[in-house]
Amino acid sequence: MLFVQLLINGIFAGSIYALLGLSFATIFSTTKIWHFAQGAVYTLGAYVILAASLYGKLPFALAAGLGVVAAAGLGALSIAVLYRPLQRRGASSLVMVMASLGAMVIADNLIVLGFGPTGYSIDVAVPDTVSFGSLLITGGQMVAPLTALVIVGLYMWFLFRSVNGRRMRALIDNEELLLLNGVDTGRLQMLAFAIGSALLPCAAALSIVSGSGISPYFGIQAVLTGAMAMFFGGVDSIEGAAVAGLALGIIESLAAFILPTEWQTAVTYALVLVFLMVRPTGLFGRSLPKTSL
Amino acid sequence: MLLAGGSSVMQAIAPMADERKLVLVNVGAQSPNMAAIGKFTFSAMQLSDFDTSVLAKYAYNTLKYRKIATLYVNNDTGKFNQQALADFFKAAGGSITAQEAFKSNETNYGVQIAKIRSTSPDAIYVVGTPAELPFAVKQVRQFAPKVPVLSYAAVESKDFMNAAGDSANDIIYTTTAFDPDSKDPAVMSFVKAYEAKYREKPTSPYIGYGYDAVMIVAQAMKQNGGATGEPLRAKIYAIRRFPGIMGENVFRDDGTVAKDIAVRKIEGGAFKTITVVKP
Repeated sequence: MLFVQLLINGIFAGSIYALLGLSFATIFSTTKIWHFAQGAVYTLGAYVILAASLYGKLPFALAAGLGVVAAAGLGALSIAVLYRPLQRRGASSLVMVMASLGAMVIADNLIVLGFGPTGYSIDVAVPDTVSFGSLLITGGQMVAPLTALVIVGLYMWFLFRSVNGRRMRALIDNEELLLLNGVDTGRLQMLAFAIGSALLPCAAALSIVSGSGISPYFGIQAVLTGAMAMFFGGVDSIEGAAVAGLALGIIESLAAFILPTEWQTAVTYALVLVFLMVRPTGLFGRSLPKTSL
Repeated sequence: MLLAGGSSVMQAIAPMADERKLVLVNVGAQSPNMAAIGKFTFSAMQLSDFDTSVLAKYAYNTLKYRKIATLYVNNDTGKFNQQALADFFKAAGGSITAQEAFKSNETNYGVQIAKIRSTSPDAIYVVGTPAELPFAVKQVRQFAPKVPVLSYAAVESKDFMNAAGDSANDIIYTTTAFDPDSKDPAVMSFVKAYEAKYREKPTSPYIGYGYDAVMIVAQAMKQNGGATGEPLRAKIYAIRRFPGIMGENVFRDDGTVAKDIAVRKIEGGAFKTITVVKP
């Protein structure tokens, strides 16, 4: 029974990791920018939801929508005012990474200044917990995977069916060809930043729905999980990051079946590392990333 | 003098305080490692080993729990508190069914609680920092709604109560016996001054630790002609017993302090004292 309970917990966590993976992969695969400030966007998005819900008294879904809009704006702003000016000045990838980390640290500290170091929670109305013998499925655990599935489905439709989605996928492989066809790749990259960032409050909202707290420090873990999901799925496969994120959540949860929970993250990352040593292109990738620090 | 907290921070700065002959007062680290950590270091708060021994005995003897599981943050505070509780509870005759850790700043504890629940404990002892503790308690209530929760002094704060909401009710914990409603003139005067400045009641014991620490050093300096360094350290040991708003502070030779410990329960959002235990 414990195995099944852990599997349920893993699917729940994995559905959130899938969104984090999609977010990181959308931005990195199309722009080759290590956007670690995504951690700050995740945190800020969650605090926008908090402020809109607790102080603005908005319904949670509407507050989450505001968080999505704010994160999309922050994403577009990051490339416009942080990365583009650095690129124009010929900054190396390492400088971009440092700028990104710096932006995250500043944002996190501003949140601590504004809201304090202690976390917050929002009580969201969800279906009652369902039990089957000793198995428990909370309302959050039911809502999160289903909602994530809808979001991933909509995003896949955009990616594979819409003109801009197809262009974004083409951007992963060959930016020059798009430029030769008169496509404004700069605008496309900004769109990737906005969409990738908009996915973050979705992940945060699903986490909040399950009773998780909002803390000024939880962005870094989100960005690391997203990056790991992207590498596991394959750097040139946005959709692969979603599958990999789900797999990561399940592996991480099931690892606790045989090991103490303090080892679950280490074991998960070690397994992914071993897998990448055997197959560096990841689960669904076709080629290795053409970038460096 | 320097006030500091956090086990790892204290371990890093205590040797530096010794080098500079600077009196360092611990107002936030409960780890038993704080004992004899430095010649110039004093703890104004009771360390976790006494706190948790009181809770473990109370859980076994009064609450009649026989099996306890621990859920803790994987840092010094979490590790020391949960291990001390486990050791004292086993010494009292009980057993520990599971000891599950979570990372600092973790927000999802479903896996840990699922493992704990599968061992059917009589109660779960939860320990974390303010960034995790309320959410760990909330999720324990979700995944193991019928299992009582035990915890430690950190639950006694406004921030914890705001974040944990109704999940905080019925938590039983131990803390230094600070009562802001006490009729003791020193406590009344402190509470009045605190309320005038912050427009709220001092609910967290950590406020009292900080206040007592400053007053202890001030009293020693007053009796010592304002001398700092080695004379100040020696004077604190010479006086040894200091009155405080959280009861009498009695310093031991290893720099730790003995204080009364209260067993409390959160009821309807208020902290109710069940009993007070002398060291």
